[in-house]
Amino acid sequence: MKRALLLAALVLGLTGLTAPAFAHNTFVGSSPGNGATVGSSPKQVSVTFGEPVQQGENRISVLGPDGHSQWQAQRLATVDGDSVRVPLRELGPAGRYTIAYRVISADGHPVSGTATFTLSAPGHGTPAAPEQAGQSDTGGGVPVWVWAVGVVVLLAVAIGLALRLTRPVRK
Amino acid sequence: MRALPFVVLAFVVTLTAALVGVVTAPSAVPGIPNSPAAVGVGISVLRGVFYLAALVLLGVHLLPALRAAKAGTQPIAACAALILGASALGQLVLQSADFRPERPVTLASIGEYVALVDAGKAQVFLFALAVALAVLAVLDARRGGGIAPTLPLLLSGATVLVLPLVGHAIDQPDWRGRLGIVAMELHVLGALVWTGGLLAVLFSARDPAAVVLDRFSTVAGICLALVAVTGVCFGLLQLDAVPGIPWYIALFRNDYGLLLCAKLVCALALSGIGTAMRYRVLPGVLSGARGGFARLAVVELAVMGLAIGFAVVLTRTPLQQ
Ligand code: HEM
Ligand SMILES: [Cu+2]
Repeated sequence: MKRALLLAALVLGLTGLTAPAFAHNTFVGSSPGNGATVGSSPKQVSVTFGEPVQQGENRISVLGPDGHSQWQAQRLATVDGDSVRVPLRELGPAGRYTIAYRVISADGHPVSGTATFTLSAPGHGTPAAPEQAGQSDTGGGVPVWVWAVGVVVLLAVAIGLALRLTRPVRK
Repeated sequence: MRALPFVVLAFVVTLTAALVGVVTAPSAVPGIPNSPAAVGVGISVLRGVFYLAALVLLGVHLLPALRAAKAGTQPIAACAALILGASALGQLVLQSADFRPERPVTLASIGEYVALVDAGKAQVFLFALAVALAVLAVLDARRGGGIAPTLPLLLSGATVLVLPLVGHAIDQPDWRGRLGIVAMELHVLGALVWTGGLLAVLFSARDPAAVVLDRFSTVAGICLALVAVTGVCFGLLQLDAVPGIPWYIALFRNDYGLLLCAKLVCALALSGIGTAMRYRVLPGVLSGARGGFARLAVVELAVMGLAIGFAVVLTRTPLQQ
């Protein structure tokens, strides 16, 4: 009983100390609006969420009607409270463009999805050069599985040591 | 075999986490870097391993409360603490891989992740708690059981309270934010004390005494009520916060809602098992008949394993699809 009370006190203490934590973010809307039609190339694209977006690797790509040409003018999106935005190149062919986003919610979870808009009159722009494939894979880091092996080896050594140390002392 | 109940639980938790994780993996979005589905599934499975280790720790440190001897359990506690620590490190690596899908994981990228995101700090804190628990277990063994059980019990309880603080809980400035966190803390604590307690009862003796079963049955009833109320409240608060779709529709439309329903079914099954335990098995044990308890208890553990397996996926599932 005493322990239960102590634990309960601990819970309330911990929760009282921290500010409310963070939700998984939810898509609220985009600009141009999801499904909207625009007559000329917008200067930027933004996506709005239900809660603040974490600074970090937030992405918005705008894909052309062909489904793979990219039209955003900046690699990372700029965070602005609840929304993120990227400047846009001048758009090209008329048709349906896809806004693809992946942002980090305040709880650290990535949230991704798509919205679309239609360009009714063609512009004069050209898409961005495709990102150099594979270029980012060699930043001197190691693949995730090497980390996994490292953690497992560390664990095995630690367990071996612990089993030795906890062996009953013989008198 | 004394380890059998735990083996069943571990099997169910990891398998459920992996399978449900694969089924609910978000589809890749075109035109931007996505992390491989294996990263998300790995995070869920490691979170399952984390809870399994925490359950063992809670169970071992609850043994004195059951008047069972804790002699010889220190190696178990030490290994569980180390596994808990490793699962925290593993989650940290995978979470930072998920944070920047197109970059390799380096010490620097992990550091940056920890600096930016509270969920990263939480894993570092858990690793420190795990090391402390392992050291306590070793000290206890070296001194022949000289460490009072309260400290390791409190630390084990603290490990399970960390993740809800940085999880899905709502950040609304009003009452809902606070309520969400308190509900989640109570939910996780209730679920793990219940499951860990059952493990401890099964571990403590071949045929646990009737008084122990009687007391445990009461605790289990309270935990079930607590877990069900807090789980339903929190889940509905989450679904209610999704813009543009009423919660009662979201409940059946997206993975989050469906997983909530699955957990509710688990809770119903558990209440059925608990009732059978209390009104069928317990009177038998009280009147001197043996057996029946262990078998039903292992079934109960398996259902709890399902609920925990669903939980570790639920906690990463987007509210919107
Ligand atoms: C009425 C039944 C239940 C409902 C509605 C329910 C609902 C929930 C919800 C909404 C969450 C939070 C997920 C999030 O972060 O968004 C959660 C987490 C959790 N639940 Fe349940 N639950 C139920 C029963 C159970 C049972 C029976 C157990 C285990 C015996 C359990 C163990 C857990 C655990 C361990 C977590 C923490 C997951 C994490 O954040 O790592 N739940 N549950
Ligand atoms: Cu989330």
